[in-house]
Amino acid sequence: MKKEKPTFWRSFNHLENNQEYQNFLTQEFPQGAEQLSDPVTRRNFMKIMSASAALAGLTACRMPKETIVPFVHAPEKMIPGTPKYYATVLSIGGLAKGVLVENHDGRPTMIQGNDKHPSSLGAVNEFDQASILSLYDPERLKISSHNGAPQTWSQFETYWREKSATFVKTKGEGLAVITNSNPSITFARLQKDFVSKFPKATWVSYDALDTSNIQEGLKLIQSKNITPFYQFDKAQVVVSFGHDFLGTDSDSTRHQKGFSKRRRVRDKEDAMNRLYAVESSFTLTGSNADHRIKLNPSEMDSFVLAVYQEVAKHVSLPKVGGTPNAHGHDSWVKALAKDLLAHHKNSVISAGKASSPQVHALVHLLNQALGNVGQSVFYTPTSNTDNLSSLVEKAKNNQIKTLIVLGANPAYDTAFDLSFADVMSKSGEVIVAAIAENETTQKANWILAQSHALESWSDALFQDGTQSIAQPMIRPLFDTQSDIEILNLLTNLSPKQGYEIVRDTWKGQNWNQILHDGLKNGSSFVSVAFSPKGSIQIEESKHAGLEIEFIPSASTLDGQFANNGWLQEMPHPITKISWDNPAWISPSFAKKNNLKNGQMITLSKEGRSLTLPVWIVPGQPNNTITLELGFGRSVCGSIGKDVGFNTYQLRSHKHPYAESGFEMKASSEVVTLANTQDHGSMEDRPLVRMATLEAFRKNPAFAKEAVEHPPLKSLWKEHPYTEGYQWGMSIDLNTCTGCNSCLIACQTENNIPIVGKEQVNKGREMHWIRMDRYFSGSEEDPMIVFQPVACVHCENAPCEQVCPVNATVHDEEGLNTMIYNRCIGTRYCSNNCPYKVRRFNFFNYIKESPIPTSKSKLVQMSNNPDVTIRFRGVMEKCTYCTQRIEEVRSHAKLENRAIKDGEIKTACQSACPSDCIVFGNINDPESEVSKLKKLEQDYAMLAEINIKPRTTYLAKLRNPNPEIEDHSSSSNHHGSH
Amino acid sequence: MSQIFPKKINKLLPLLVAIKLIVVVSAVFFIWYYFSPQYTDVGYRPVQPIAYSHKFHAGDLGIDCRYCHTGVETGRFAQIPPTQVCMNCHSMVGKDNPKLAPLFESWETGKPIQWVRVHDLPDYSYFNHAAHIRAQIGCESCHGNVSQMEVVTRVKPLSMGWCLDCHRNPAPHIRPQNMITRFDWKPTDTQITEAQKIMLEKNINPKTECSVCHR
Repeated sequence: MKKEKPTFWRSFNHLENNQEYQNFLTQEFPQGAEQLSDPVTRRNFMKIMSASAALAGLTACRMPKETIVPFVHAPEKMIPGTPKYYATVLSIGGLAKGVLVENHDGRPTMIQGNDKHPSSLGAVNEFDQASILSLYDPERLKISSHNGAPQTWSQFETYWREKSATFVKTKGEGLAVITNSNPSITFARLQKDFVSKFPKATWVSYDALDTSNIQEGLKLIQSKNITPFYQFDKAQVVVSFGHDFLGTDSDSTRHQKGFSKRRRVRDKEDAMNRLYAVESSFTLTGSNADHRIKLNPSEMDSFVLAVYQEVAKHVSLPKVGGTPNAHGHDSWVKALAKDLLAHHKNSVISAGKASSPQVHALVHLLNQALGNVGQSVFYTPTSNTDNLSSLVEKAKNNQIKTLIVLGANPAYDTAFDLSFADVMSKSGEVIVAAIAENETTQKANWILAQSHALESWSDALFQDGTQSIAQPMIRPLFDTQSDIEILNLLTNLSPKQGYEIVRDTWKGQNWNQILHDGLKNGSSFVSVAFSPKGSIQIEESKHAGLEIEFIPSASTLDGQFANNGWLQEMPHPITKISWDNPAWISPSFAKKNNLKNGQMITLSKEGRSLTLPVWIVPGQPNNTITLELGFGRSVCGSIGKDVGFNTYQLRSHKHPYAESGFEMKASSEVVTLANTQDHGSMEDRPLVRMATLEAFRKNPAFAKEAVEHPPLKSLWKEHPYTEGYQWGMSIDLNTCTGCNSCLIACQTENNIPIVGKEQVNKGREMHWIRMDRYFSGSEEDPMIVFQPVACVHCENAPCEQVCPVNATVHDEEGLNTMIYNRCIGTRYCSNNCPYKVRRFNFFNYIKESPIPTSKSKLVQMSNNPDVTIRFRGVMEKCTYCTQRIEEVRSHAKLENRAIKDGEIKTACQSACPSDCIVFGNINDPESEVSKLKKLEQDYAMLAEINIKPRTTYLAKLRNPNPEIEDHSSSSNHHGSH
Repeated sequence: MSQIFPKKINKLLPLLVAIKLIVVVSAVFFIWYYFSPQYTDVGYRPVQPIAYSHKFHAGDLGIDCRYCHTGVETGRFAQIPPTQVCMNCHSMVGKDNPKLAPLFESWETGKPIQWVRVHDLPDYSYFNHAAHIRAQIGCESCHGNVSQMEVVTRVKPLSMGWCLDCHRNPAPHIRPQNMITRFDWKPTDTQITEAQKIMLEKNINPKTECSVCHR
């Protein structure tokens, strides 16, 4: 019998239900040689070793000698084995994020949010968390060097003393410094000193993910140097013009917190915000939108103008030139304008860094006219980022004698037409400070080994005025110095401890308190009034040929995290591809050009070209190819080296985010990409359940009614589970944005190994949380629903019934526990698991990992000592963070009290920026999780097979504008199976 | 046709069976006894870098366990004292004692003393000292009478079965609060009823599930 097309689908194979998909379904772990591609295979090794192993005899029966190494001078208040938490601040992508770092016996192991800090509000994103792994990267720079010869810091000092003396005479003529934008207050202070010492020196601060259009746009309508500060928790209607505020925006954690606050629906009377997204390729923002419109990048400006003109019909707005064009969405624009006008002072319109300055100007004029300024949109002072082109010009004229690069990697992440390699070769001498070897250090004369942020004293200013101090979590692992120490050395010629330099900045302040809390509150909002300084003209979009859109990578950001295995292996939220960055194309583009997934194409324009594979992404605009930045690093550690394709090669200086006029040539070569979208598929059962807010109000129990089944009867006498604590979890699909933060949190907390591209391709990724991504609706314009799935801890667990050695059993508190020592690796449990959440250690991923650095003792320092490292041949899965339960339990017991609700937070829960995961005691009717489970939209996946999962979901709701006929959400999605 | 085997061979069969039985039984016994932690681990007394005498310090001088093992009431690990703690007394006492040379060396060089672990649990089991002290289990129950040991010796098997014995029936090991670190306590006739009272009051109900110790 031919099945009907599924309502929710994961891939085209799934949609077509073809043979390839069927093969994947029936084979949980696809066929593959059970050995790594190492010439000395495990089997060979065993053959050789078996003889000697037999002779080794009984010595193993004796205990290995283990030593205890106590301190000589014990630090105060430190109890070995009991983690301590320190507040600090991380600056990734120029954003100050307040975090708490878990520190085990002097070794940072996990990064969690600081709920007092406005940029974190208790949550973190995947980059923040993964920076732990970057700290323990064994391929970091361990010592400074000069033309390849190792150098001490005092040698550099001597060198620089001499060198700078000549520059002091010339006031810095011929001296240039390049950095990325840095929110550190001390760094800014030292920069000022440096510039006043060398007034003629060039100081350039740039970002690969340039945000200057935002400031430039605001300059068109006022004169201050400001940047917008959106508060999505203050808005009922949210409009994003290419602003991925839930995804790759550096401030996404705060945005997700705010956005989810207004999106959460508990009761059918509850209000829910509405998100309109206009964008090119699918982003997390677009996938969470109630209405999404895909446009080719060149169509964006005229579309925004159409919205502007529509609103201008009803409120007074300055006149703007240009031809509005709704690109066929005229009724949509009308409805949007009406909705905005109906929510005066209660909406937000935002534009992304890729939008033109004119669009930004329009957006802020709109916000002002709609009364949002001062309500949901604020403005804060900012410093300008600079343009590299003036420096490049100077270098090309041989005017730069000494070029200093502090922490940046311009040889990799700058536009191709700046030809930065030339700049470096034409500069007399190049000094590069970097954490790890990169494309820039390769061409440097002096390489200065820089400390990681978790090893350095620093401080940071968050946009809203909050100031924080960053404290080191561990002494520098190698002979390195922090960026502040290096800049101090460059300016003041004498080395000084980072602590003292930062202390100088904070003189007279309540240092201890600020350090403890992780912040000092401040506010720096400026009041604004916008009016166009000149006439704003939206230029006629002219495009010929293919358009290319450049987006930041979800796993390497701009390339700086390329050597981070956790992030490389994390499947992309939209494409579900790990370890790669194919070009995204639309289904109809693929059909037209007869392209299939993985097929190599060559994109070229005016002398630049790049060959890379394609991936067909539903919801992609037809004439646009999307390229992820941040891959294809040529000089990098072994994890990131040559992974993916360097798309910076196609990026021009003038059009950093989108450019048209490309040509495409297809080749017949097809490569394999590690894609996880069909992994762990559960056929077409209604696993995600979704309805519109309206439908939910009419029938709140829609989710439960999605499946009809006879009365459930158990095959055996069931355990009552009515006493003591009974753990359970509720996941709100409505607020889940699919950001992958929980996935990395789980990986950090539970010592989950990375397995590499080849193994991922065989379905052997080890992530305990699988972020399922479902499309629904048409291929060309689908919606996306995310569903994080980990072990759901069934009360009648099917896995337990088939384990021949009792290695997976239930405990009294409802945990489906996994006892690694008993496991003999039959994999029956995984076979019998209806949710496909069990992971098998095909190898001893610590000792024989395909990832060369996994064997490093340094990497192993990132391990959580509270969780066992699993061996080859052992099954593993989510434990509900049993180590955290036990930790809290022993605390509570020592204080002679019961565990409080909310006291135990699983790792995924603590990281989630949308607060959609709630864990607790379901035996306590007053606990939050019990209350959530009583909600009408609560449902259990596969409830019809009576396995009673402890993790249940709150159904996804959408809040579409009734006036917009949405072609993609035409059918009812509440369980039409 | 003549018989291949002589008739007396018939007698051999029971003998063979008997031998086989003895071999099997003794093999089972051999493994059961000699492979058990009771045999392999009990009595383990490694040589320590300093011949530290618990008998002298804890027994004769009567120093409380917690003077050195400070983490025992609050943390998972009882803690081996830092050199600093030894120096509290030994900066005055025994300065000329050659046996203490490694101690002074550690103090001067800042290099820690590497003590050999006697009571070692596998890395996949997570034991919490504080929880057991709260439950009023005496140090002696697991570590034996340390106050009489010249060299610390492992006297209990610390095997899972042994742990479970107590987790299933903790009452005989529960002591009055002031006796936890003492080695001269003897259970009285009313000990069990008192222990049961303590268990009720403090909500002591040790679990026997895997997840209690294994994560």
